[in-house]
Amino acid sequence: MIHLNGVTDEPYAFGVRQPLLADVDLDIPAGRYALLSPTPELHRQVIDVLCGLRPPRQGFVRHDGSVSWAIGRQGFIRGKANGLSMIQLVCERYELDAQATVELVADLVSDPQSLARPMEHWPLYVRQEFSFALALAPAFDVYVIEGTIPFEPCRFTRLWLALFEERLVGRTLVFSSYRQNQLADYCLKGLVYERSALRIEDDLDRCIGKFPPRRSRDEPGGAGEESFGSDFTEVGI
Amino acid sequence: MSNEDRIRGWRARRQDRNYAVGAGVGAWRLDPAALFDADSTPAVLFKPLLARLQGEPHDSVAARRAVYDAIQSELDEAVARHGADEEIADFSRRRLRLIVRLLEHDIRAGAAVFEPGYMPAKLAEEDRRLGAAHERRVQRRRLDEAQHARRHASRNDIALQIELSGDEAADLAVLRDRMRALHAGHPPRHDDEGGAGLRTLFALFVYQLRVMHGESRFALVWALVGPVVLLTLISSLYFILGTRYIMGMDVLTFSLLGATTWIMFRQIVFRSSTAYVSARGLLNLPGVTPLMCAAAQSLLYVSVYLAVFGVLIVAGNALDLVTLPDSVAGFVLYVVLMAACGAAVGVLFGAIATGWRFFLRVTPIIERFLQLFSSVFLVSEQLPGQFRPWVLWSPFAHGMQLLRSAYFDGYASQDASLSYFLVALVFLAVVALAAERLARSHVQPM
Repeated sequence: MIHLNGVTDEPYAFGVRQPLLADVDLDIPAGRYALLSPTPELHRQVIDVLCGLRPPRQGFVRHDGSVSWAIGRQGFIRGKANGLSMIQLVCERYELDAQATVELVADLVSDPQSLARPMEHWPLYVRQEFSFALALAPAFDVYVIEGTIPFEPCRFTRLWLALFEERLVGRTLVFSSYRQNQLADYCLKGLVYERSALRIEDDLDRCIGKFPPRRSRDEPGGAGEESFGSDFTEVGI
Repeated sequence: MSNEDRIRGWRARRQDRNYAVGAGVGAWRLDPAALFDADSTPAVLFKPLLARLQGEPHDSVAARRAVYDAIQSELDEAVARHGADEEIADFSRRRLRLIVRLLEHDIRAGAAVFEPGYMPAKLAEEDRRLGAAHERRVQRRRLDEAQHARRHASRNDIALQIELSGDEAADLAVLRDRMRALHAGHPPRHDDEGGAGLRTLFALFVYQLRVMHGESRFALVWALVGPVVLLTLISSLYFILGTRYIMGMDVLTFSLLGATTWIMFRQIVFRSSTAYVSARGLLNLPGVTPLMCAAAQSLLYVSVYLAVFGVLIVAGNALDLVTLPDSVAGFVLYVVLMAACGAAVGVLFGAIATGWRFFLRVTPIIERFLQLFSSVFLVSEQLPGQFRPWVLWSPFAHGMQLLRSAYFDGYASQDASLSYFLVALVFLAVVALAAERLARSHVQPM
């Protein structure tokens, strides 16, 4: 479904040029993959390349079928426009019926009133729900999820999961998360990114054992908090 | 139990006048319904245990152990008979062990355990803890089952059935129909199919219009103010010098064309270069590129300034201050070509700024410099012959003079060359696109 042909990429990340991918040739067939690596900080850049959001410096990425955006990322759900304008944009982009899409999203999310408000004022959970709900509208063949699949016990989670479960059958999932349980729940194979190369490994449990998922350290509230926590426990507070 | 014990028990019961034969059995019997309910009080087990202990010899540890063992095996039988859940059976066994431990402790401490109303001091608290632990185990088992079902669904590529309430199931049916209808009208296609780019560009343009409309309608009025201020400045310079006509062009219209076109050019350069570098949120939508963001901004501002031109010319003409264009089509064409120049410069600046952020601080200086050599304030024919090359190197000067030639009936620029202007425009566009290609892989979605 996703083919990487001689892909070499060296984007700027964290202020320096990172050798992200070096002459990678890989076919990612249909399946469910957990993106794992010793450097989760670079998952974002890898996903950009996989989704075709950014062309690599050399080589090219070809998609068979429609590949989603990085679902779960704040991404384009920000700025002064309201949610309805964003739905219109996405509908134009994917040739969807805007009215039906608005109805789908509004009936799914917990707080449909917020759709008419500027996205910059939305709380985080509204953005997350919007990103996930809107991703059900286009008929994607490859779902790329970055972050956490909804799990809080609420109406949105149950309905979204029910719809997503049905949609995912026979399709491809590329999933990057620091939640090990979710990776093990939804994925069957490992898409391992290591030393500027990507490879597919069949034994997911072994991959997770080798590259235990952890929070990317560039995310706010990530490892920083955890290290504080461990310091306090060490001194007995 | 010896006969003496039985007689002693019988005598004790005889003293209670309300005693009916067989009524004591109720206090001894284990009630399975209450026993296998996690919310029941510990009394359901404690009372029968205490009654049995009282009715049996209980002076020695061994005797008491026999009673405890008997009730334990009776509990196991009840579990087997009623087919109780392993979790709850385990909870009952733990509860029995807890009661025995606390009771035995009190007996050894010499407490009056057979007094009515007696209950070990810590029993209620400890039982609560036991109940909470049981609740946690049940919860964990439920999670394990859910996880097992989820993994089973993933392994077999089937949809996991999510438990829903009645209302939610009805909602799901509606949403499922909507989703399928959307997918049915959406044939699978490749993202890079032809036409997708133009459609996305148009969608982006409409989106930006909505943003502008939602943000502030006053911004559109403000778009009129800039050109009016600059045209007043230029005209007043000429009026102070006592000039009413410049080579057959009336000063106010001359200034209006120079000021509005240049402000449009400037806005397009700044907006598109900023959009190229900074509109990185939108890049997360597949199909949207930085070049497209820059193009959408250029399209937006050329539309805005065409409207500004319309308003100023119509209003100025109504007030008898401004003359109408000789050739509307020619005038609009040159405005659009100048906008295209602005877009090319904007993309070039954006591409440079991708590698060197500081560059966007320099661009206003470059713009001011270009303004001096772009026939904004005067046309090259006004200058002495030896100074004309100072202006005519700039393709924008050619563009502006060609624009005025198209607008005014009485002015046809001698110096401006259409071919020079067009070649320069194509050259600029090619350079901008080449720079964009080099910079593209460094513009990361945010």
